[in-house]
Amino acid sequence: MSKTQTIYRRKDDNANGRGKALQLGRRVTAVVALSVMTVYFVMLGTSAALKLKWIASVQIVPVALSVSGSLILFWTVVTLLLGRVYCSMVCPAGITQDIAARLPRMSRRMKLRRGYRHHDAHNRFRYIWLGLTAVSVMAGVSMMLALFDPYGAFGRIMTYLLRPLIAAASGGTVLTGTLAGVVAAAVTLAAIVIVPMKRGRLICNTVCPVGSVLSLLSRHSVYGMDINTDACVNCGLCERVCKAECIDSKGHTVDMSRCVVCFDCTAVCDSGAITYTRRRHRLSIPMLMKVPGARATATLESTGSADNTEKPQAIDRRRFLTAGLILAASPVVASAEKKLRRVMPKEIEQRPTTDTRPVTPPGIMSTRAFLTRCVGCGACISVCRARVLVPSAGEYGASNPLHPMKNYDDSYCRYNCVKCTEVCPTGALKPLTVEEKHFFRTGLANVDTDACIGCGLCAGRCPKGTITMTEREGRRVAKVNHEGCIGCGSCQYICPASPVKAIKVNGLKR
Amino acid sequence: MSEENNDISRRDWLRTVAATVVAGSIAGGVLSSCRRGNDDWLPLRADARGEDKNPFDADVIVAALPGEVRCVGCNRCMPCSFGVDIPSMYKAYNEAVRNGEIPASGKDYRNGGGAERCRAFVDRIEEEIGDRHIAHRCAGCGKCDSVCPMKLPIAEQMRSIGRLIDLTREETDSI
Repeated sequence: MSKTQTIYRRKDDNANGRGKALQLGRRVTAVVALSVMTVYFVMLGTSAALKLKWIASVQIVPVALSVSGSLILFWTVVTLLLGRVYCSMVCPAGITQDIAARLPRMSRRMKLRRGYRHHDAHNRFRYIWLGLTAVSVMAGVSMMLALFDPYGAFGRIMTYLLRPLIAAASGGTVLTGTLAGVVAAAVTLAAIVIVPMKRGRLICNTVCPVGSVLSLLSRHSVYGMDINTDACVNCGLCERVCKAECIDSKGHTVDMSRCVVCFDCTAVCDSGAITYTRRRHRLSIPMLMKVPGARATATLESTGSADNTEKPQAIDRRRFLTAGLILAASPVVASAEKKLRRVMPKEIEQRPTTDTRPVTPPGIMSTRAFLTRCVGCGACISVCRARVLVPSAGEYGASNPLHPMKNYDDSYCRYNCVKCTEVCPTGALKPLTVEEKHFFRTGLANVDTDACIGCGLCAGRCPKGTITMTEREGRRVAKVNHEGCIGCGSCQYICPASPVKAIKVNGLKR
Repeated sequence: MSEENNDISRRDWLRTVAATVVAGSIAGGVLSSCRRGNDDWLPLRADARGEDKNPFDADVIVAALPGEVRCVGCNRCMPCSFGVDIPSMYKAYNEAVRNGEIPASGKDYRNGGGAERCRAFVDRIEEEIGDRHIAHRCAGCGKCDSVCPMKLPIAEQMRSIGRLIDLTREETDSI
């Protein structure tokens, strides 16, 4: 606010200078982090992208899943010390929400410049949700974690929406994924764009597992937002700009378990009453004045809600889950200019293979560990130049959607390529050398001798040389030596049998 | 608030932090159990006997490549039983030879930048002819050889070009 619009006396003209500096620092860091993450995903496939892999490796869910001790320690210490700085400065979904919430508020229409209001914390909901997520992960079902992981959600938006758009715009072939991936990404994008416009960081404080875990730590952070009741003029500006809806300006409390440390409040407070400072563990009230209904700002007894008389409201999950619009991505088919031919080539009719166990990418520890660790971010699908990795739609079970599997009908896994293992940030795919990959079995090929026409194409292509042609019932058919087969899919890819492929690769059971 | 409360709250604070750290370590330990040792890798290893022979020997593949092919486009070889679009493949191949995209020898392949220069050729045929109809689908049945009026060794040449396509894909998709 400029000086001419002063309606109250201020001691210090630049009382919120430090706040403004913190806010600027947060904004710069956030923009950089989001840009690096976006560039990383868009550039996946080029060798330059791997230099930016660190932005994915420092995200909290990948850190937790890959059990990277040093980074776990780092984030624990940072959050205990400074609060939920991850949520405002590193989390791609959070930064996107900030941008989405800010855009309408920059217009001139008063209706769009709505302020936020204080709401009670939905602690019961979010900790039960967190508990369910943790229990399901330990039981091997990672769907809740994968769907609500902010890094995974952002990765899916990049993989299934942005990259296909860019590919279509530059004239290449499109759709790195399937309809399931596009729908999931679209719903996620709608959620993180629409919800913040009305309710700020509601998602971060209800369903996000990272938010809930960090809230347990930031609840008792050393540094936090603190309202100095001597300087506070009760204007309520801080409450109105608080996107986490955690400031109660009447009670002068800030719920640090929900605060995402965006510094918007301390930048807007002209009295300099709310600051980011060492938290006190006792009530700061002027000697003779009592603020009615208020509790201590940061005593351990407070549960984060200023008004203990109200019961926490049950969040209307249904409302914000159905708020997403399903954007149907129109597939842009690469225009293949078929020159006039006098005789068209024969189109061999082949039904897609649907009766095989899904084949995982190489580098897994075991199928169970792979399914637990994969958050479905789509980085491996984006980086696969052979386009053999596609997202699952229930092949791994309904509780494991959008995990990578191989489509051997239209492509095959290149013998010397280990790119998918290089980009996985959660450790679901461990990095392999090319030599290790040559012996890493992801599946086994099986011949249907009734359907095999004995052309020998598979035997000629197998990079391990495990397929031979034998005679069965007077016919020439292929035979796979299971000891050498690694399940690369070169045979299934080339098989010209009709109406179904005669050689198929099955994923491993464990 | 009295000083007493201040002391208690600090101790309580420390207690809470310690509890969090302990809980966190337990959680970390549980998560670590997802990590298994190297024992689990053995069943996933294919047969390790025999050296790791390189199935993509550029010298052999490039040596088998024809020069420009004298296909007149009569279409008597069509339709190929395995779906290869022979006249279009020959047309694209000849264009690639003229453009210098096809290496003349193993030495030329290595000096000329490896498989990258063939990538343009492979991209073009993938887009214009389609993955299901390019040369590597040829099974070598030889039905086309017998009807070709130019007596071209079609099956042999298609298979050679097909191996070049596979080599190019292998080299350029893995980098």
